[in-house]
Formats: sequence, structure tokens, C-alpha cells
Amino acid sequence: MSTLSIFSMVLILTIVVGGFIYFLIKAIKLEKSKQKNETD
Amino acid sequence: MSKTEQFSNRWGIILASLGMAIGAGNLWRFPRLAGQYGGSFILLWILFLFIWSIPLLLAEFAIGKKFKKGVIGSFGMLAGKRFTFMGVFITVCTLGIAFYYAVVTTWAIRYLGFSVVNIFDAWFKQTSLSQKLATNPDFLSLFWTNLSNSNWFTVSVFVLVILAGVFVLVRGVNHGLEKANRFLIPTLYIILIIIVIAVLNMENGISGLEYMFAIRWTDFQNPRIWIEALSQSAWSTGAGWGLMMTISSYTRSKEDVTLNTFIGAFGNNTASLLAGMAILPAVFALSATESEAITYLQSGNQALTFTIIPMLFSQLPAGEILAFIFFLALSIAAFTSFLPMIELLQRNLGDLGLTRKKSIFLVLIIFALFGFPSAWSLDFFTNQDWVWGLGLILSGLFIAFGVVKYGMKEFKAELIDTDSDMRIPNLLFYIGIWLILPLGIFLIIWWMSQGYSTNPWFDEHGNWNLLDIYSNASIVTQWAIVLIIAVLLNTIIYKKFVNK
Repeated sequence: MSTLSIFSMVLILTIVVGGFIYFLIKAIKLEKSKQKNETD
Repeated sequence: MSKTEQFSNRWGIILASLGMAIGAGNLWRFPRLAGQYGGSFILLWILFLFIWSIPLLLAEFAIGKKFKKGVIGSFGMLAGKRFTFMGVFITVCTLGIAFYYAVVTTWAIRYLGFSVVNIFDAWFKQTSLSQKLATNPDFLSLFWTNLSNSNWFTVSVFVLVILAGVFVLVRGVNHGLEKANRFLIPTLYIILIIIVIAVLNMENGISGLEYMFAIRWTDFQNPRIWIEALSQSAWSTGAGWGLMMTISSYTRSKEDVTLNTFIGAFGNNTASLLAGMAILPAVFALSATESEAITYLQSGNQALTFTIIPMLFSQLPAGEILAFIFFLALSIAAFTSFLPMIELLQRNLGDLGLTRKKSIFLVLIIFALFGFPSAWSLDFFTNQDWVWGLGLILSGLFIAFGVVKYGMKEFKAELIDTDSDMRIPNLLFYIGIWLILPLGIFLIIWWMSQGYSTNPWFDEHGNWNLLDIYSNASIVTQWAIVLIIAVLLNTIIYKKFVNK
């Protein structure tokens, strides 16, 4: 693969898949803290 | 409809929005376009996710959550009595798609059955698909032609698909839609990842990846790429369909709008990328030459998914299994997208005071009646795809108009930011909504100017060219019929759907 293709692949996957995972983790953390607050 | 009916938690609505968005467009249209235009297209597709799809999805989510009604009722409450007809257009437009989308789901399921038969033939009769193709090179094309035109078996499966959808949704949102998605959506992602791993291990598989992510700077000068990227983002995420509005009408009263919308939108695009990383390397690995692979990718129509994929996979030692896995993924994706389309109609009927059981029975009859012509005739199917696919852009414009009419500042503060754990800057949202208006108008005009029909407005005798599948006359006539009826009945509709 050419350097430019590798660069664009990394960039695109980071934005899209990375973004998806980031938002998912954020939601999981928020849900956990909300549950914790409710139990407290 | 039960007044207490709602998703049990955040994950219920996220899975529903993923199920709604991830469909046949992700598994075939995206890989085809990514193969055709490469990384330049993908970058633009990401850009339009931010400036078209996310603002619209945010708006839809917020509207559904706030007004807790179907599309017609919610839109009437958002934009006011005079503009309720726009909600009717959005509803009819999405239903126009839903009627033929049931047929796409039917095709996917018929090919799933076909791949099961191929596995049995290969294992027990020692007749693989590649042998069938060697005996009769037109085997797959004939199967496709037979299936998509005047075929009673297809019609029977089509009725079963609608029954299956109704069976899930009659149990309600919580016990039907949420439970089905909890199993189907993770399964879909797992299947896509399995195919990506299998395909990337094939010889030349990496060439497909290179082709998919290659950026050619000159591509950015081609207006077609910009349009294709915008339309793919709009159609694939479900922005402007009214489906997110329907789903979010079942949220808990203090549900997060922004973060859930972002998860849905990015999850949809992740599924598209996975599908691209599965299909493109497969096409490259299994084509005799690179140019043959590119020819396959660039000659897109509905038949391609169903004829080329089995043909390509038939060249592999366990290709029948891979084809089965692919069609399983396609069937799941299509079915989970079909469910919210049924729910959209059910929700509107529920606003009229019908119980879920009664409205779902009506939905069954309506889908069977209006979907039948597309199940019977590929020409009718193609026309409906042409008319209502573009209609979604008009629906998106109406939603943006509704937000402007309500007041963007108030909309963002009251409907989006309240209860949201994550917030986006106001300016970004305002720019997004304002950009939708010129972008949408430009897209509709550009699309109609492309000359997909030889006689876009009048035929060679000077008559209004209504019956041509791809004519602009057909688009304008069908849109006008819906809009005129909706405008004439606007007051009655408002009373029935909003005041009630």
C-alpha cells in the first residue's frame, strides 16, 4: 500500500471507528455513574 | 398505543437508531461508491456526516423526544398548523421507500435461502455454484431476473417479511423492537468483522483496501463525488426520513439527545466502512484483473449485490459459506431497517387513537397492498426508488425549515441541550441547519439535471412523460399529488393528528 493510502486509511478509521468507540465509552461511563448515583 | 411505552434505557434507543440506519445502503451502495471514487469520496462522506446528517438527526431526535407523537403530529406541533402538510409529505415519502424496501428485504432473504441450497448442493450433491456457473454462465442472472419479475414465490416471501415485521412490532417497542435489536445489531457487526478478516487474508485483498482509501486530489474537482458523498450520507444515516423522530418518540423523558445521536451516526458509518473493507478486497481478490474489479464496482444497479457477490464467492473453496454469511448480514441489516419503517406508520395510526394491535393489523394490509407492485415489477420498484429516494432530500429540507420556524436558538436550548450529557457549540448546529436549505435545493436541481431519462419532462410526442421510470415528470407528479392532497386536507389532518 502507498504511504498516502495508509495515511488516509488511518485518518478515516480514527475519525469514524475511533469516534464511534469514543462516544460508546463515554455513554457507558455516564450510565455507570448515573447508576452509582441512583444507588447512593 | 400504551402511554407508558418506551425504551427501557439508553441502549434500547441507540440499538434502534443503529438498526434503522444500517441497511442495504451500507452493505452495497457504500462499497460501490467507495470503490468507484476511493478515499476522496470517503473524506467528503465524513464531511457531510457533520454538515448534513448529524444536524438533521439531532433535530429529528429532539422533535420526537419533545412531542412524543408520530411524524405528522410532531411536525404539526413543531412548525404549526399551517405546515402540518410537510409532516404528511415526510411520512408518505418514507412509506414510499418502505413499500419497496420490504421487497429489498425479501430479495436478501431469498438469496439467503439460495445460499443455503448452494451449501447443500455443494456438500451432498457435489455440485458447487462454480460448477453450475460453468454449465450455465447465465445461471445467476436468470435466477435474479426470475426472482425480481412477476414471481409468486417472491410475493409470498414478501408477505412473510411483512408478517415477521408485524410479529416483532405487535409486541410493542420494549418487548418487540428493543429485544430484536439487542440480538440482531451486535450479530450484524460480528458478521461484518468476520467477513473483513476472512477477505483480508485472501491474496490481493490488500489491493482492494489500497483502492478504497487512495486519495486522488483531482477527484475533488469532480462535482459528482460531492453529490454522491452527500446523498450517501443522507440516505445511509436515515437523516430526514422521520424514522429517528419515530424512534425517539419512545424515549424516556430525560433522554440524552446529542450523545445518542452521535453514537448512532458514527456507528452507522463504522458499519459502512466495515462493509467496504469486506466487499472491496473480495472484489479485487477474486477478479481476474484490477480493471475487471473496477468494472464490477462501477456498473452498479440493484442486481449487482445479488449476482456478483455469489459469483465472486463461488470461486473460493468455502465460498458458499462466505456467501451465506454475507446474505445473513444483508438480511439482518435490511430487516432491522424495515422495522422502524413499519413503526413509523403504526405510530401515526396510533395518534389517531387506534390501539397497537388494531393499527398493526392495518399496517399489514397497507404494506401488502402498496408493496405488492414493487414485489411484482422491477420497473415499478425502480421508479419508486427514483421518486422517493430523491424525495428524502425534500423531507430533510422540511425538517430544517421546521427547526428554523420554531426558532433555532430555542430549539437548540430547549429541545437538544436539555438532558444532553454532551453538547455541541450552538454555531455548529445553526450553520448545519442553514446549510441544509441551499444544499438540499441544489441537490434536487442537480439530480434532475443529470438526464437519467432521455426525455426528462416530455416524451417525443410532446406529452408529459409520466410513465418513464427515470423521468423528472414522474418525480414531480407523484410529489405534487401528495403535497396537493396534504395541503387541501391540512386543517383536518392537524385536528386529527395534533389536537387529538
